[in-house]
Amino acid sequence: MFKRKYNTDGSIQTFKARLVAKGFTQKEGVDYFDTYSPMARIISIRILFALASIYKLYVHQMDIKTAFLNGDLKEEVYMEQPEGFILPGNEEKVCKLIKFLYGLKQAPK
Amino acid sequence: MYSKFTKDFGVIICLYVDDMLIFSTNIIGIVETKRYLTSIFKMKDLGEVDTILRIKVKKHSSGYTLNQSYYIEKMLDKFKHLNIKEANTPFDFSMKLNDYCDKVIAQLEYASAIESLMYAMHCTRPDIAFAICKLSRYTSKPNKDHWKAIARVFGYLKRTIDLDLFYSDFPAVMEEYSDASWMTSSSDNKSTS
Repeated sequence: MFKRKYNTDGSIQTFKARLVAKGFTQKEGVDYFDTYSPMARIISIRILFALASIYKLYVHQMDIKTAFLNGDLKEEVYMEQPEGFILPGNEEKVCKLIKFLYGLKQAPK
Repeated sequence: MYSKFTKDFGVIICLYVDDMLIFSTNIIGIVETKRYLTSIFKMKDLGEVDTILRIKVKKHSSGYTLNQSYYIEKMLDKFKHLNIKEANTPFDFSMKLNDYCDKVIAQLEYASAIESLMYAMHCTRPDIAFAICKLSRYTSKPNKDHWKAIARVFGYLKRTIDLDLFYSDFPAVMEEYSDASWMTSSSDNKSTS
């Protein structure tokens, strides 16, 4: 999947490329078992801030870069070689996925 | 949500997909946690908390405030065709709301408006809870009066968009207020307290 990223004035800033798996061909029980992502309830966040106010806690924030691609796959998933990146002489082979990829059903875990 | 308590510090980590809040009793806890996490994942340190889920967080000498003006602005823009006029209160008691229906108007959109308001109410705006409670009773059959009432809630938010939810360091004491109204429901003479 390719994307152009624009600056606010409309000029092109960078080109972004992203490898996306065809998650819709995955079968439940074969290629994936459960799909969920960690979500804190807004109420919990509010309670934590109330506690932070009373007990004078320090609150800092962090952002995980490319969070989706950090996880290791537990299931065995294969995908076709991406277009334009097919190894000459190995046309019949497929890729075995080790890490999560965008598009996979289990990626947001 | 994960937590760790040692004799030196207590840390609570609150995870929202890829956003993370770290609460700690002292600065050592923060530093330790950050160091450990960056050794495993690629992380970006955003320093002291600023915005989470588009809620602006500010630290004051006596506590924290949460503000959601960005979301409210978006919401007002989405429903600007309602011809929103600014209002000082979220609900007008002189308005008679009936549940027998003369003409149902845009039921689906009404439900969506209630849902949008309810999200703001849950996050930072408990002051509109009463109005939402009243108006959400008519979600299945809204008529033009209900739409007028909901536009007023939007109008109230428009005027008070900069109100923060303030958590103070004052020890938690429950205070309760109650008010009973006498036969305000015009159709069946029920009372609300």
